[in-house]
Amino acid sequence: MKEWLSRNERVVFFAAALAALLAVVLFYHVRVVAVSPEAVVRSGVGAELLAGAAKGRQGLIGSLKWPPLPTLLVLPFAKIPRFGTSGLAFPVVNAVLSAFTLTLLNGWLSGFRVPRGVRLPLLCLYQISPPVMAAMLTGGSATLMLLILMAGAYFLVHWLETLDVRSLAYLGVLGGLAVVTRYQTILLVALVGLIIVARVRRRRERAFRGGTVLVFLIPSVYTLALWFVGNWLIMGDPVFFLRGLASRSVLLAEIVELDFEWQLYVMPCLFLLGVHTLRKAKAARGVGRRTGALVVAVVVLLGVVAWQYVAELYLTERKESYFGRHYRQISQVDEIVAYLARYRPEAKVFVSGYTGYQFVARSSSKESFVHLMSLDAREIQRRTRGQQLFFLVPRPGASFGGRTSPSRPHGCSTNT
Amino acid sequence: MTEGKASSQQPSAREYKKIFFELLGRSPHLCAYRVLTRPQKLVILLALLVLIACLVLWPVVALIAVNGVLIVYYLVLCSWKLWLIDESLVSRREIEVTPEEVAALRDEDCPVYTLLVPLYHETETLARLVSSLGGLDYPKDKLDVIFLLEEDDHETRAAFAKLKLPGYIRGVVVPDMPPKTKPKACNLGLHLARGKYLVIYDAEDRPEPDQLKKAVIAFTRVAPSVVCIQAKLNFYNPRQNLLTRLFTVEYSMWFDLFLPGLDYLQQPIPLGGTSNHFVTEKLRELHGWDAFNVTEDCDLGVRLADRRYQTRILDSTTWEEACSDLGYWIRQRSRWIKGYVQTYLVHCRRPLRMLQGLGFWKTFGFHMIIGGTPICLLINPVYWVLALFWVVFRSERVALFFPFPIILFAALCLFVGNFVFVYGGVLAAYRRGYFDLVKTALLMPFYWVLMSVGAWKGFLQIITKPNYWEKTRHGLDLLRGARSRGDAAAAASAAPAEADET
Repeated sequence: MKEWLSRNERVVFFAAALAALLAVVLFYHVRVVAVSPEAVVRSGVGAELLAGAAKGRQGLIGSLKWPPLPTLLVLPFAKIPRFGTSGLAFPVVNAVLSAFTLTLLNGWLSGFRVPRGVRLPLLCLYQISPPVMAAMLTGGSATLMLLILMAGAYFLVHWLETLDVRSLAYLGVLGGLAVVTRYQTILLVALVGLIIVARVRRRRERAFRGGTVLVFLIPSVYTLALWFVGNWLIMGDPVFFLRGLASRSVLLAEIVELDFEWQLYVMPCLFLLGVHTLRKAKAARGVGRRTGALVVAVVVLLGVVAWQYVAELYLTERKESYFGRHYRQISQVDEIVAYLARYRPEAKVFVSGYTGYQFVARSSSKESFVHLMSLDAREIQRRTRGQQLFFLVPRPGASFGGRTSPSRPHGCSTNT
Repeated sequence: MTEGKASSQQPSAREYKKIFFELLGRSPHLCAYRVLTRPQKLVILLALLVLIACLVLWPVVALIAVNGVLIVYYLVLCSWKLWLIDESLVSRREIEVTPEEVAALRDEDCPVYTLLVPLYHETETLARLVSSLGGLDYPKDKLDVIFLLEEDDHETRAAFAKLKLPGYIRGVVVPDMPPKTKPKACNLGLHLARGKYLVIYDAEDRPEPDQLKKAVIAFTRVAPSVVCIQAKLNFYNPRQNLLTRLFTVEYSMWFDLFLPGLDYLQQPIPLGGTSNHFVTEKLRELHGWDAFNVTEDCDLGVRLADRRYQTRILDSTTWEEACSDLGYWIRQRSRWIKGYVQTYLVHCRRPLRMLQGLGFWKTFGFHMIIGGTPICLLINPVYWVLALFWVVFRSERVALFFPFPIILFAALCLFVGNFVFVYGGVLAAYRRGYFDLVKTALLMPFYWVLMSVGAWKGFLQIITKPNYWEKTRHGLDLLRGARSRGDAAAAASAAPAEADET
C-alpha cells in the first residue's frame, strides 16, 4: 500500500484531532450531561460485567438491539466512579474513534492530492455535521459504526484497485466487526461480497475466486458463529441474543422499531463517490474535464455534510434533532428521580431491565436505586425485610417515556 | 577425508574435534553441550521450590497468579505476531531482485559459491539432488559443492560412489563421532569451503535456479552488517495429503509472514534449516554452527544478532519436501522444539550480557519468538483441556482460577488470538498463491494439537537425549509415488503467482 502520509504526520494529526475532540466533549458535558440511553445501558452492563455480576455477562454477548462490540470498548472505563456508570465514558471512547476516522480520511484525501486548505475544512465540516457530532457527544455505537464503514470503504476502494491481500483482509475483519456492532450490516457484508465476486469474476482460476471470497467472508462468519457460541456458553442458549430477557412479541417489536440510521450508511457511500470523482479528476485529460470532475467531487463531498445542517437546523423539530432526541427520555427519568428524592428519600427503589440502568446513572444517591436485570421477588424480600418497596418497571407495550406519563412509578408495594 | 576423489591429507582426530567443536572451545557459554549450567539449574530449582511452597500454602492464589502471568504472556505474544503479520502484509519487506538484474550479472562478477549438502540415509533423493544442483543458473567453475557424507552411512556413500558427478561436486566423509548432528557435519564443510559465500541445502531441496545469483546481487545491495540472507522455504508436494497441506500453510505463514515481519522490525531471525546464504568469512568469525544444538540454524540467527550482524530475507524460494508421514513429522517437530528450548536456555544463561548484545527491543523479540514458540506449544494442551472441561461440565472449579480480569484476557486469547493465527494461515496460503489451501487453513487448530504432541516429545527429550538428532526421512513422495499433477506443476513452475499480481 502506498504510504500517503508519513507515520509521524499521521500520529501528529491523530493527537491534534483527539485533543480537539476531547475538549469538545468536556465543553459539552460540563454544561449538560446528556448521554444517550444506549451509552447508559452499555456502561451499566459493562460495570456489572467488571464487578463479576452474572447479569453483566450479557454485556459480553449483547442483544440484537445492542450487539456486544461497543460494550466491550467501554469496559476499560466502566469501573471509574461516576464516570463509568453514568455513560460519560462513551463520549470519550467516541472521541478516540472519531480521531481515528478523521486520521483515516485525512490520509485518504491527501492520497488524492487534495490540498490541505481544502482537506482540513472538509474534515472539520464532516466532524461537526450534526449526526456525526451528536453521535460522538451523546455516546452510543454510531461513531464506531461510522469508523468501521469509513475504513471499510477505504479498504474496498484500495482492494478494487490493487487486489492486495492486506486490504482484503482488513475489509473482511471490518465486516466481522460491523456484524457485532449492528446486525443489519450482515446485508452490507453480503453486498460487499457480491462486489468482490464481480471484481474477480473474470480473473484467473476458480480457486483464486473461491479463495478471495473466503478470505473476505471468514471473519464475518467467524464473528457471527462466535456470537452464537458465546450465547450458548454464557447464557446456555445459542440464540439468547435474539430475544434477551424479553418475550417473542417484544423481540419482533424491537426488530421492527430498530432505527436503521440510514445516514450512517449513506455517508461513507457518498464519500466513496466523492473520492472516486476526485480520482477521475486527477486522471482526466484537459483542464475543462479536470475542473468539471473536481467541481463534482467537491459538490458531492460538501453535499454529504451540508445537507445534514439543513436537516438539523431547518427541517427537524428540536426533540427529533440528533442532539435532542434523548432529551425526552432523560428528562422523564430525571423527573422520577427528583420525585423520589423529594417525597421518598428513605426509599430503596428496585429498577429492572435496560431502562433501570438509566435511573442508577441519573440518581445522585447511588444507594437508593438497586438494579436487577429481572425482578426476583425473593431476592428483594431478602434485602428489604420490613421496608417499603417501589418497583419501577417499563410499562408493557409502550416505550419508556412514550405515550403514558411516567412521572409516577408504575407499581408500588410494601414488603412487611 | 574426501570421497570419490583422490584423498588429501586427513586431519587427525584432535583436529577434527577442533573443527567440529570450535564454538565449544572458543565460546562455551554459547554452546548447547550442556543444556543447563549449574546456576541455571539452581535458579530453576529455586523457582520450582517457591512455586511448590506457594501451591501448598496458598493454592488458589498461586494458581491464579500463574494463570494470570501465562494469559498475559499469551496476549502479548498474540499481539506481537499480529503486528508481524500486518507489517509483512503492508508491502514486500523481502529483498527483491528482478530477472533483469539477474540477467545483467556477468559470470566474471560471480564469486566462488560453496554449497554444503549434508546427507544421511539419502539414497532415494541423491540422483534428484545432483540434477537439481545441475540446474542452478550459476557459472559451474564458480561452484564448490560439498556433499557431507556420514562415515557410518554406507548406503549413501555407495550410491554416491556410483554417481557420475560433475567436477564441481566433491564428497567429504564426516568421521563417526558423537554427537551425530547436521551442524557438526556443516562445520567440516565450512572448514573446507572455498567460496566467498556459502549456502546450505538439504538433500531434497530444489532451489529456484537463479537463487545464487539473486543472493550475490542482494549481498552487494545491502549494508555490510548483513552477513546472512535467508531464502524462503516452501514445499513442492503441498497436496500429497492433509498433513502436507497443513504443513504448507504453516511454512507459508512462517516464511512469508513472520520472517519478513521480523526482518522489517530488525529482530533476531531464527534461520530456516536450509537456504541460508552466508558471507563465509563472517561465519568463520562466529565459529560456525553449534554442533550440539539440534536447531543450529535458529541458534546461529540469534548469535548473528548478538554480534550486531543482520539477517535479511530474500524473495526467492527453495522447494523442499513436506513430510507426509505423521510419525516422521512428529519426530521432526520434536527436534525443532527441543532445539528452540536449547537455544532459549543457552542464550538465557547470561541475561544481562544478552541484553547488552541484543539491546532491549531484540531481547524482547527473542523472548517472544524463540521462547514463545515452545512455551505456547507446551502449555496449549493444558488450556485446551481446561476449556473443554469447562464447556462440558461447567465446572466452578475451573472458573475459580479465572477471576474477572483474567477471564476477559483468556477469552480474548481464545477467541481473538486463535482467530489471528488461523486467519494468518489463510492469508499466508492466499498470498503464496495456494488458493485452494485457504480452506485447509481453517483446520489449523487440529494441526496445533499435533504440534503440541511433537513439542512435548521434544521437551521430554531435553532431559533424556538432549543432543539426539531426530532424522527427517526424505523422499517419501517418491517412494509412495504420490505426487499429484498439481504438485508437479508447482514444482516445475517453482514460482506461484501472487494474488496481487493479477
